[in-house]
Amino acid sequence: MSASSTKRRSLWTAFVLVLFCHQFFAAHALANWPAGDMKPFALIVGNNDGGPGMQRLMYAKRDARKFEDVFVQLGHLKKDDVWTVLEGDADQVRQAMSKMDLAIGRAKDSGQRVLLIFYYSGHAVDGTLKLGNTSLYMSDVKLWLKNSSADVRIAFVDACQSGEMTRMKGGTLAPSMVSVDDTKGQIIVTSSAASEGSQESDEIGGSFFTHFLVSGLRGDADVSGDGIVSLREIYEYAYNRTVNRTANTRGGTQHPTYGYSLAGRGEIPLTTTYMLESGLLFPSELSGSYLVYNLGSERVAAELNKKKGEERFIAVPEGDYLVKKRREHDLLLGRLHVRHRKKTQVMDEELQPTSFDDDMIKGLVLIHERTWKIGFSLRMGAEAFFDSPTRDDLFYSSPQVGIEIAFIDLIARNFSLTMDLMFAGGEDDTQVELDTGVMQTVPTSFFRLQVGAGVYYRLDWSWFGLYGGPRLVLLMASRKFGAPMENYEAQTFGSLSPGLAMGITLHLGSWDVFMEGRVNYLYYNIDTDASLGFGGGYFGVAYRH
Amino acid sequence: MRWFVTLFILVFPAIICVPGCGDYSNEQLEEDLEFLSAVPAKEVMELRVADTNPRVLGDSEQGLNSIQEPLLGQLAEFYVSSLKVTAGINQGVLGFLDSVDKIVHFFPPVLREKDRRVWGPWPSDDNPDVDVRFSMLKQAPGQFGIFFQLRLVSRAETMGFDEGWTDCIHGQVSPQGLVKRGTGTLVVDLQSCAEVDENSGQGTATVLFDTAPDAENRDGKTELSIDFVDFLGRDGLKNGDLPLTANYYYLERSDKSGKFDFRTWSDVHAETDPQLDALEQWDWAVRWTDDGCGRADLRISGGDLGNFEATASECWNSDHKRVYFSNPFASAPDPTEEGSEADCCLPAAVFND
Repeated sequence: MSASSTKRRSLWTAFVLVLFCHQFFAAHALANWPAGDMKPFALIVGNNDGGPGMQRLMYAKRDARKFEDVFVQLGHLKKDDVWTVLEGDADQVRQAMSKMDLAIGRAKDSGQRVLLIFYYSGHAVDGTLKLGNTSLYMSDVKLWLKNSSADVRIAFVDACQSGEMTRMKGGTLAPSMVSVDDTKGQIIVTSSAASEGSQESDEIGGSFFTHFLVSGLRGDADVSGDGIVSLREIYEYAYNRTVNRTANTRGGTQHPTYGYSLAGRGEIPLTTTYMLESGLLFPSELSGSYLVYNLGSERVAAELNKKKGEERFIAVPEGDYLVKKRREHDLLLGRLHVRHRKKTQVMDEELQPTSFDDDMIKGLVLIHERTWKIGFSLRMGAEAFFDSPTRDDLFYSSPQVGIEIAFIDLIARNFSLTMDLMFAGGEDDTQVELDTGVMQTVPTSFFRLQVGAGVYYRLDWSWFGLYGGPRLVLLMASRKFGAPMENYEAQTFGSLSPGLAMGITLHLGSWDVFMEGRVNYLYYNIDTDASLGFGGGYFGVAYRH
Repeated sequence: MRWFVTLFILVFPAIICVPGCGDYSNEQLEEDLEFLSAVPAKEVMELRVADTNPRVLGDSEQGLNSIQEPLLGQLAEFYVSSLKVTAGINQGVLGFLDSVDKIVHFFPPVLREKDRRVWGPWPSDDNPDVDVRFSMLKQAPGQFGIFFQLRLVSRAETMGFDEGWTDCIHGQVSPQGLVKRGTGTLVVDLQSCAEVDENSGQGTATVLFDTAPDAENRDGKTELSIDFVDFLGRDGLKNGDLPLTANYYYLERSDKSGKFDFRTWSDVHAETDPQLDALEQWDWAVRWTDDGCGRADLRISGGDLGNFEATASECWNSDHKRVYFSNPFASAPDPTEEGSEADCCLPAAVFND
């Protein structure tokens, strides 16, 4: 198939989809449905970690926050009515769903109409949303949406192969209802088709789909100019922008999908740009592509492609912004301050011509999310030297307790850098044979401290994992003798000791239960030059964040 | 940032400790124990007639000075006199061993070398211009030299750690069999002490001791031979006392029986005839059994007695009460003999000249 025929086919597909959407919304004659008629509730999920074998995303969490911000600022969404799960697991999402169901039930009992918004940004594969080492079936999400008592349920799923959600079911249009205000049903908007990936961009500091979703909701999708961004407007806007923008990317064109099961006549307003009253006003004489960067939240706030002759308003909260206009050979860049309840006008004349190399925003949006985790563990076990005389009278066997901090994926994916402190101590007897042949027993109290650092390779599956690797220990030992040496000073010893550690861990959400074994080599050179070995076994609990 | 954290975590432990540093040593423990065990314990060196520590009686009315009019059934006079002598020896010569035992037990050495330990120096209690220190040297397996040394404080500034010290008390110990038991010698050389501290006294005291177990005394014994030659300690010098030349032999077996022989010189006529002022030789032979019952024989000869010699004897029971007494020097109305010698638990001593 030639390149031109492929392009024609893509255009034809886009045309059919837009036409279909247009027909659907036309059938549901848009009523002037005042925002706030339905009380919105939102569950917002973002997770960069897709578990083993999945490349860690950079901006999923950031996208989730952006989405939350726009609905809180412009979508009549109260902070108390949002459940946000960032870097959480499937159980946390399910718990949030349950809490949300209760809240929606209370709202319904009080006679309110309810709008449920579900947003997901992260990995998805084979019909599941990947949340770290856990998975959530898309079918479960759909079932939850279907069973919800909310009047209208809208899901935005920004993930690879998320089109699976709209393909499995939906797409049937229920008969129109009589009332203009009784729209009921469910709409699922996904960032890509079932076989496509969803792409992130360092330039915009997020995924294309959410970027355009948020830009549109802030006002760029308000084609009608009525200050309300409706579901139809935002879908058309996000679809067109995402397709256009990803057409030339290495990841391939990304096609957002739309699935619905809706009854009623109501158009669904999502945001009202006049709600915030402050923002950036792009007058009618301006044209071109503008990118707005929020210096306060360090995120791209919106992007708009403007034609001459139409005025556009991008609703953003009070703060400092960088506005960039891309031109053929250079950029226009300017810093603007948006005041409370004021519209700040953007003028090309006030933006400074800047070369592409000096694009400040490009540097700013590249502030990466933390891609590694930190873990803490408590452990206890026992330690012993392999050599019997050493174990009996020099480095005594002992129980051990310790703490460990792990920097998971800090060095590289699947590698953990760990630091630990282990304490051992107790009382024992030291047997000494004097020159006279007398065997003397000296009661001894001892204490050992290990400061360890290790680099472990980890293999994690959904409910368990294996890890192992080298560990270097600074061993510090001390012992104090009893009668007749009770007044003599304690003996001390310090040495570096290389070793290996291996463990198996059971994942319980953010918590792990683990068992670990360690072996170490110790070069002892005080009485004699001796190569000693010691080992230990431990179990404990770990928390990963 | 992440590489800095990684590098820091890996390199930090290596920076703060060179591998294998410290004094965590069983050899050092063994050596410390050997030095510590070599010093004879005071308990095994103490003189105790009839298993009685003179410190128990003390100077109270019921103690060493309680004898008013010795009679049968009362505390035996010769027994008490023997205890007074042991108290003096214990306090004088063996008090030093007690001090050494305390030093090595309560204070870790300031210098630990292979086969050598040094404690101190400390300022002398008796003379602020003098430093004292104690050192031990392992001369051979199972043989240690002990040295109690003096040095003028002023020399510390110009001399090295081991320079300028005078051996005031020195000796050798050979631990044997049991901890803190063995054989050895101890020489209290007040003549050398006086070279540094002129108030130290004069003369020498030499102690040969054997506290090791043997075939008859499996738990050890206490056998001491002590020779004083022109010996006058710091207090005696201050009080203007006469120097002491005397020999003491003491043996306590592991079953607590024992004997104590010593010789002194005194004027037997001091109270009866001042004209006869020559000193007579007093030979004491004190014996006791494992239950504390005993006998003391005192032979007086020489001096104004010429070739005449007489022996006084006293026997006591296990409660240390007099059961028999004979005194050939007694004059009327005092009897020359009380009780029956048949009541004595031991026969008369045989003096070896």
